[in-house]
Amino acid sequence: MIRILVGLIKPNKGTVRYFDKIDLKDLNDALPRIGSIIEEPRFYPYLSGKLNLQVSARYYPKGITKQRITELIELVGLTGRESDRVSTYSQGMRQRLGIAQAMLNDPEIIILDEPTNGLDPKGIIELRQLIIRLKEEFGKTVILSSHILSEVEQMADSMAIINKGVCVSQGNVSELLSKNSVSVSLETDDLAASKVMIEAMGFKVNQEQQALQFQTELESIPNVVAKLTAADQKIYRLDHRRKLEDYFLKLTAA
Amino acid sequence: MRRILEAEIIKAFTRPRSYIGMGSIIALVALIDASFYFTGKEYIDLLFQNFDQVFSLEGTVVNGNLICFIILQTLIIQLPLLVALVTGDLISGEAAMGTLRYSLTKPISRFKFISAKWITAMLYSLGILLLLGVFAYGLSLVIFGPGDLLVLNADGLVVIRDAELFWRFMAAFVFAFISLTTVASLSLMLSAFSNNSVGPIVLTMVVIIVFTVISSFEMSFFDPIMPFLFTNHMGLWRRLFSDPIPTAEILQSAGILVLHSLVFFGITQYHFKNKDIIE
Amino acid sequence: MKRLSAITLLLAAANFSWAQNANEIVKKIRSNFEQVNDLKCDVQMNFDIPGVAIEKIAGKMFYKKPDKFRVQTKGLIFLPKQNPFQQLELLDDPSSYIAILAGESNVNGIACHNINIIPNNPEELVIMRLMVGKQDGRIHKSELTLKREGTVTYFNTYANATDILPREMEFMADFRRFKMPKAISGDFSSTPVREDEAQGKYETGKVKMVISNVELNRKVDDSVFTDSGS
Repeated sequence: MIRILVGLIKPNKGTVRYFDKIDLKDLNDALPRIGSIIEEPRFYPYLSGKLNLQVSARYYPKGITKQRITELIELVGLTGRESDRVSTYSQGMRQRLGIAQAMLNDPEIIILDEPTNGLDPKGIIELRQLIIRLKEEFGKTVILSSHILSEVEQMADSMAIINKGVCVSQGNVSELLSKNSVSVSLETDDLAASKVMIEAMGFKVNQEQQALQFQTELESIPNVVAKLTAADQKIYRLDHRRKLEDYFLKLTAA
Repeated sequence: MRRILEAEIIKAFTRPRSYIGMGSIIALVALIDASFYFTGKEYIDLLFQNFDQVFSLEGTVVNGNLICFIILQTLIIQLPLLVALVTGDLISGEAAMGTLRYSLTKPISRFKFISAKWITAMLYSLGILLLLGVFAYGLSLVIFGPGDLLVLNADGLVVIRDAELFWRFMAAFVFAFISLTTVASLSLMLSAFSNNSVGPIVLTMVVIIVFTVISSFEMSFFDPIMPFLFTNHMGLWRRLFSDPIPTAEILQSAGILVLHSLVFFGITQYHFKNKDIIE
Repeated sequence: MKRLSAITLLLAAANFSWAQNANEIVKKIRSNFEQVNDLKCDVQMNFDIPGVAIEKIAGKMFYKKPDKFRVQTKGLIFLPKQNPFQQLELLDDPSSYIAILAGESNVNGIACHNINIIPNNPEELVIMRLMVGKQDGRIHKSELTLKREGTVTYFNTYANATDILPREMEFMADFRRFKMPKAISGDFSSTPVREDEAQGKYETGKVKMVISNVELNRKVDDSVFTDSGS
C-alpha cells in the first residue's frame, strides 16, 4: 500500500487524496511536498553519501542548495562521513541518509516504510529519536508503517490497523490503548495473599518479581481495588495499560 | 529535464563499469597499432597475394588512415557490446540495486526519466566514439602518418586519396553513432523489462552476434530476413569508403537505424509508464 | 626434286630476307634507345582496372639503364609488373633472341611491321610481338607473353614524328576480378559474391601513363630507386 501512496504501483481501485485536493493521477503535483523511504533505503554504492543526495536533489523542480544538503547531513548525524562511499556505510548510516534524502525538499509529509528494519538496538533508538524530532521539532507529518508494534506505540499519535487489505481499526493511539482489556500491574504488601484474592475473582494472575500481573476489563479495576482494600491489603502501586499487541491480535483474530 | 539529465549523467559516468569499455578501446587500439607497426607489411602482403597477378601496388599502404579503417572494422562487433555493457544496465541495474524506487518517488514523470536515460545512453555512445576517434584516427596518424587508404571490399578494391579521407571518416563516425544509438536503444528497452543487471546486456550481445553471423553467411536461405537484420544496416558505414559512394543507400540505412531506435524507445516508454515498481 | 629444292631455296631466301629485315628494324629501335641512359619526367597515372576503384594521380617517373624504374607519387598506384621500358631492354642483346618479320598490321591508324621476338632461353618471356611503324621505326604496340602473367600489351603514343620516347604508354592485361569472402574482408554490406555475374571471368585492366617534361641523361641518382630515396 505504501508503494501505491507514492506512485510506484497503480491501484486496481480506490482513491488516495493528498492535501484534500490532489488525487493519485496528479501525484506529481503532490510529490514535491512528500518525502519517503520505501523499505530499506538504497543508494548508489559507488557514490558518496553527499553525491547521492546531490543526485536525488536534481529530481526536484525547485533547486535544492548545497547548504540544504549540508544541513541535512548534520541533522542525521553523518557529518564527517558524507564524502565516503555509501558502500562503506553501516545499515544505520544508510537509514539516516535515507531520512536526509526524504527531507531534501523540506516536505510536509514523510512516508517511512519499515524504517527500523535491520537496525541494531542502538540504531533503532537513534532513528526513533530522529523521527520524533521530525514530528515535534520540525512539525512534519510522518506516515510510518511497521510490524514492530512497540515502536508504533512509542512514536505514533494515531494509527490504523490493516488486516488482509482491510482497515480494521483506526484512531488515536492512546485512546485505543485505553479501551477495554488492559494489563494490570499491582504491587501490595502481601503479594501471595493478594494473588489468592484476585484469583478468587476469576482472574489469572502471574507473579513477576515484586508485582502481580493480570488481564482484566478496565471497568473491573475499581472492584479489585475495593476487595483488596477491604482485606487490609496495602496497595503500593497499580498500573494499567492497553497492550497494542494484545489489541492487534484481538482485532486480527476477529 | 536538464536537471534529470544531469543526475543520469552523474550516475552513468561515475560508475566504474562505464570505463571498462573505454579502457578496452584504448588497449585494443594500442595493440593493433603495435602489431601493424611491427608486422603490418606482412599482413598486407598476405591479403593481396591473390591479387598479385600482373599489377604491383606501389606507395605507403600501411599508413594512419589504413590503421584507423582496420580498427573501425575490427571493432564493429566489439563496440556495440561495450556500449550495451553500460546501457543495458541503466534501468535494470537500478531495479537490482533498489534505487529505482527512490528515483520514481520524486516529482518527475516517467517519460522524462526514461528520456533522460535514453539521452545518457546516446551520450555514452558518443563518448566511446570520441575516444575511438582520438585514438584510432589521431594516434594512428601520428604514428603511421597520412596516406591513401586501400579498402578491401568483398567485391573489389578501392583506393581513396588522402585528401578525401577526413570527411569520410567523420561521416563514418556519425554513421557509427547512429548505429550505436540503435544498439543502446535496444539494450535500454530490454533493460526496462528486466529486474536483473546481467540479462539485458547478455541478450543484447546475443542479438548482435547472431545477426552479424547470419549476415556473414552468403546463403540464399537467409535472404528473406536480411533486410530486417539491423546489423546489416550498421555495416553500411563501410560504403562511405567505396567509389562511388552509394549515398541513397547509406541514407536509407541510417534512416532505418533511426527508425529502429525510435521504435525501441517508444516500446521502452510505453512499458515503463505502466510498470509497477516492486523492486 | 629440283622443283622442291628450288621452292625450299626460295623459302629459305625469303625467310632470310624477312629475318634480315626484322633485324634491321630492331637494330634501328635499339640505336634510338641507346641514346637514353636515364630519364626523369612528370607522369599522370590513369587507372581502369576491373574491381579496383582508384583515381588518377600525378607523380614523377624515373628510369635508369639497364633496368631501374620507379614512379614516385604522393599516394597509392598500381603499376604493371614489367616496367614499360622492358620491351626495349629485351632488345639490347641481339644474341639472346631471334627476330622474325610476321606480317603487317595497323595500330591506331599507323601502318606497322609485325616483328616476333623469340628468346633463345625463355625463362620468363615466351615471345614478344612488336608492331613497329613502317615510316618512323618506333614501337607503337607490343605484346609480351609471359609464363606466369600471361599476355600483357603496351600501346605507345608519340607526341611528334621525332620523339624517341612515347608521350603515352598504356598497359593492358587480362586477369580475374578480385574477390574476397565477406568474413575476411569484413564487408557485410556488399552484394553477395555468388550473385555477381563477373565472377570467374577474365577482364582487361589498363594503366595509362601520360608523360611530360622529360629530362634525359641528367644522371639520375640510384637512391631514387630505393624506398629510402622516396
